[in-house]
Order: sequence, then structure tokens, then C-alpha cells
Amino acid sequence: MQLNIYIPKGRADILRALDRASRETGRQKSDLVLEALERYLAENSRELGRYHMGETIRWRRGDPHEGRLKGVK
Amino acid sequence: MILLDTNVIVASLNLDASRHRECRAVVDAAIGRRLPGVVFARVLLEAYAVVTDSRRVRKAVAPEPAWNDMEALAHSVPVIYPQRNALNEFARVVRTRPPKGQDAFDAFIVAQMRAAGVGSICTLDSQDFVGYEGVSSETPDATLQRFGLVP
Repeated sequence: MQLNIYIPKGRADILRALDRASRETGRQKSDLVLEALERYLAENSRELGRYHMGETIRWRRGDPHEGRLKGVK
Repeated sequence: MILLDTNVIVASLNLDASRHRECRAVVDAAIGRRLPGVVFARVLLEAYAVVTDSRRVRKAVAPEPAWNDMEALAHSVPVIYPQRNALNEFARVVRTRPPKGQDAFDAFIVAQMRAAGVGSICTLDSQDFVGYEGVSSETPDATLQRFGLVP
């Protein structure tokens, strides 16, 4: 898979910083970009809700499917 | 990769669940990429079905917020979809540890894990997955310990 990104002139400094980081760490630029993207997505992910659902009644994985078996004789 | 099981996702959302704290810690760590958690599309649907069903929880969550949470999870943690090879893996499971009745659903989770190269499942029912070749099961506490995330 490939990701091509347009870099506006005004932000060329980011590319120069990426070149420098790659040289200094010996890591591929694509690897650094993916790591940064992964961090950004994790930091900006929405927090899940928390609910007072009370006691969970014991259920088995097949239970939610039981309705699909209605009418089977 | 570690599959987050349905019961872990449900308990992570339910403040009243006795294992809420550790389940939430596992799910949050997966979202924050501090552990390599994944979910199956089917697990998200199961969790949605459980939290919106007043036969499974005392106070069901309304459909919209419930799905918003499943969607948020799907955006933050890699989602693995059923693969063609899962049926071949299921055939192997049937030959080596034949499931009966409702156990078929757990067995197919194992088949999907093997097809996708997912080595372990983090679950509150780790006994359900004992004896299957190629996959291991662990409790949320064990997962947190393995990744040095115990407070």
C-alpha cells in the first residue's frame, strides 16, 4: 500500500525535519510517518462511554443469535 | 495481536461490572496502542447486541450511544473481518476438538483467530478457549501484567 501526500510549500520545513530525524535515527521516513500518524490517531480517539447497566446477566456467545433460530423445527 | 473479547468490551462500558476496572484498562490500552489489541467485526456486533438488550443487562444502553461506542472502538483499534480461510480453520477445529451446539460460536472465533494470525484472546471466560491449538486465552489482569500496565 502507498500513501502519497501533498506538501504545501509553506510546510516544507516538516519534510526537512523528517529527513533529519530519519538520518539521526537510521529509520525509514515512512516508518517515522506511520508512527506519528498512529500516535495522532490514538491521542485523538474519542473516549468510550461509561454506563450504569447494573448486573450483567450471564450470557453465551450464541445467545444474541438465538432469534435467528426461531421457527426451526 | 490480542483479540478483545465481547465480554471484555461489555464490562469496559459497564461501570457496575465487577471486572470493569481491568477491562476498561485493557480496552483503553488497546485504543492508546499500548498493547496490540484487535477486534473482530462480529465481536463489536455481539457487544452492541448485549448492551442494548435488557435480557442481558439490567439497564440496557440506547442503540445510538451504544453504536457510537462500537464505532469509536472500530476507529481506534484494528478491526479484522471474516476471512475465507476461517472456514478451513473451522474444519480443522471440528476434526480436532469438535464443538457441539452453542460451543460452535466460540470455536468459530478460534477459527477466525487462526485464519487472521491472532495468537491470543483477552476474555473473562478464558476456560472456554482452553485446548484449542494455536491460540491462547488470558484474563484482562494477565494481559495488563504481560504488558507492564498494572498500576
